[in-house]
Amino acid sequence: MSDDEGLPGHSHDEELARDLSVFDITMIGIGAMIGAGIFVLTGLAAGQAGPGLVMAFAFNGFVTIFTGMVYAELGSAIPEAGGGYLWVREALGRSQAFLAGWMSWFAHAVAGSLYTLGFGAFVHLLLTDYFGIALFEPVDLFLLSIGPEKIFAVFAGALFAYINFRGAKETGLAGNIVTMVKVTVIVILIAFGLGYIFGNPAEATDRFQPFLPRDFGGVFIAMGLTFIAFEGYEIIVQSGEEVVNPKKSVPKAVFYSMSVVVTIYMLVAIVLIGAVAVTPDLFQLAQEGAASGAHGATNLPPVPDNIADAEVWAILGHLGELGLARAAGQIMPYGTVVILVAGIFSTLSALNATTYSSTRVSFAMGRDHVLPDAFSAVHDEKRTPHIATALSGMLIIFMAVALPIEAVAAATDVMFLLLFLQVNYAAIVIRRKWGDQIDYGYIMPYFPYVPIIGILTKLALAVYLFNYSPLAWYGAIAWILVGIGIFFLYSRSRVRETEAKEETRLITEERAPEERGYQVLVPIANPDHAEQLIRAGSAIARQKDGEVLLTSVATVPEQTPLSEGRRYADDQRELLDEAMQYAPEDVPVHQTVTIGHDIAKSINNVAYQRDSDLVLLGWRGRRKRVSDYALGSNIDTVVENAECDVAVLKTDGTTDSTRVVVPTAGGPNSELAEMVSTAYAESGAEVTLFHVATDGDIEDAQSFLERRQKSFAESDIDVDITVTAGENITEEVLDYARDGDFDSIIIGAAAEGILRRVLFGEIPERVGAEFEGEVLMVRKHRPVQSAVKRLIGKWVGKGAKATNLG
Amino acid sequence: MVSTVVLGAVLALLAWIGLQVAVIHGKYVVDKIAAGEYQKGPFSDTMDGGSNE
Repeated sequence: MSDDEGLPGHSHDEELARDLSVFDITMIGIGAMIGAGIFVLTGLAAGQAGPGLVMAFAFNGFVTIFTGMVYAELGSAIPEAGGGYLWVREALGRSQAFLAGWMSWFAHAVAGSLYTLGFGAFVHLLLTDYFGIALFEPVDLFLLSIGPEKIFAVFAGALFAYINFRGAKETGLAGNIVTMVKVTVIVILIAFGLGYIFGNPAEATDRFQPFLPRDFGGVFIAMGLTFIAFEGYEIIVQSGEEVVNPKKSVPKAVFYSMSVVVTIYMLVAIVLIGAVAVTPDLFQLAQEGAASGAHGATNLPPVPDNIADAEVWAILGHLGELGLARAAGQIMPYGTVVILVAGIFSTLSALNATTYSSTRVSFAMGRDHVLPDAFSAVHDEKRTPHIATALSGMLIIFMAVALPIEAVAAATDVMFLLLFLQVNYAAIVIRRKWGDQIDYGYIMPYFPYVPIIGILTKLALAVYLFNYSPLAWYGAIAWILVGIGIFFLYSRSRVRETEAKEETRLITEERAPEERGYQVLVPIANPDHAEQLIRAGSAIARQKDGEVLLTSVATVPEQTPLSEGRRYADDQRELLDEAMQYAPEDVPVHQTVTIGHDIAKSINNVAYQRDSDLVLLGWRGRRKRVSDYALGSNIDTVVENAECDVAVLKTDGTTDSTRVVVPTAGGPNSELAEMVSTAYAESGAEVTLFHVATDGDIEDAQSFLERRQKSFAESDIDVDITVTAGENITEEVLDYARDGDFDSIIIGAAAEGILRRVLFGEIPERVGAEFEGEVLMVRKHRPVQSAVKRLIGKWVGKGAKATNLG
Repeated sequence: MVSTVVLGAVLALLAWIGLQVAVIHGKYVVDKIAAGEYQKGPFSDTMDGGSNE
């Protein structure tokens, strides 16, 4: 990703009918939040936070609003269906987007697993307690305990995978009805609960003491555990394309829905603790739950032997996903059955949405060619992405069967929290890169502190969840590692291919490539330097029995499609035609004109697409001391990002090299310099290997050069060697080259650190700038180091630039 | 000494108020931008070099 891929320029070929109002999408957001999460997770969270559950919900609302502001800002400016995934892709590039998509797929799928398990538990309770149907006891299979809940969960997962395959989709009206029903149920529950609390203030107040039985640690765990119930902004943004006046409506809906939902959650927590007593029935159920371990009650104090010692919050914790439903039985008439029915509808509608979302994410990744193309396959008859649907369904079912419900909940939260880290960071990058071009409908205050706080709080919550469920973290880490493996083994090259195709177009191919093993790519911009570059490139190609590919880049503005660039390529065609006169007879030389938006990127793309082994660039020999570049913007960019070896030739107009000196100190770059000098030697030049012994150990240096000389001799090439003692390598090299009447210096790049940004290093660049003759600087491609540097550069900035120090 | 219930209630209330302030501020900013009266933003950098808020 770069500046010249303009996020502000995003445009649509299709326009959706805009018919949703602020109220509509606020309801969508509320529906997404007050859903399965609150029905399933409240009991588990009460067990962790105690009466502090009220505070956990309030804190979660406060913490989440930071990311909510990020979503409001970006959703108002870029109201597209892609949401967070799109922003990460645009701001952080396709490799980050792969990770975002990969985590998003898992997050939505595992959220689906949570809802299937919630559904299974609710149906099980309804059938056994209210219909008197006796079901089988859990059966141990290998390491898994399979009870009726899990069977119902598998059934629901498979059913909704099938429904999504059939293409049936929940209609907006049905969605709104489900939302209204569940919100109404919760509001009635709150009303009954508050009625009790106001009628019995002393009893209710007593139940809030001690307020933090498990200290703040329990509150933090409850926050992380219930985080999923606070994130409705993604779906609001996803609806942005269908909203009337999205610039105003989207951010307002994000804020309104947060305000309403957090208030409701806090009231639910208040009535859950204040209006519920530990009855013998509840106590017995909690004992049974604790004994069977069926309700995901983990990290909890044991149920006391005596009912008088039992606290409401601990009992609710042991009731797990059924905590809210059981408590509701005390708060209002038919409370349990009402909550169960509402919970069943909620979990099913949430399961439908998550199956759809996870399918959509994996389908999009298949279409972007970062997952196998099968993911983007569409069924002939149903016209749905059947393979992506099937795999997402299998993932949902597998996680539901393999993990206990609390680990599934924690894994969902961890993955969403990590995903939002990226979105917060993307918001910073987008504001910094395109902030002055984007038409915002809302602007977050205190930038960049708001997204930074969003990052830190989410990271802290995610890490803290390790205390609750290490299994969730192991699962999340395993998933991320598998994703990284897939990315490097499979997706990375396909991402690169896609980028190269999008960014660059080759339009003329004068001679078909002969598939010679080694290729030297020579970009030509100045006709005066063509002869020297072709001579050097041909010498190297000859030595490697390879070929030369000449290219010249025609640039077109960002607004102009590359397909329109042909008409601007005449100058480049003429330039290459003229340069061909310098092509030697004994080396295949081809030419191609490249159309691109950016010269350096186009050169690297051609090198990638044509699998070039070496890029040979011309340089006027002037270093940039003032600007942010070392040798020039294009040279710097090509050298830093090339995926093959690079050589930069100081073009002094020399057309023949008869005496060549090669300063060498060992290492991969010096070896490449020696290889190039071999090519010069085979073209008739006298080559001298030169070493400056800065430590004064002449003998050691001499023996090193003798070994190098011997290796040249094995190829029947005679080279001279010279060792000199000195402290200033640059001056020694320059003096020796001048005194010895050398006309060319071939020098390898200096060693580089991970964090230091160097092109060739201070010594080669100074030699290149100050020597009066030809200088060829070479740098070996080191894939792993380059990838790590690019990654570090992307996250922590470019780093110090050593080349400007001199 | 303040009991943990009171402390917890105050903290929860403060967090809730903080959220509502962010919501009200958000609505204010959206309305101001829509009316073309909001000057604190990335767009103002190019005009007056003002704050990034």
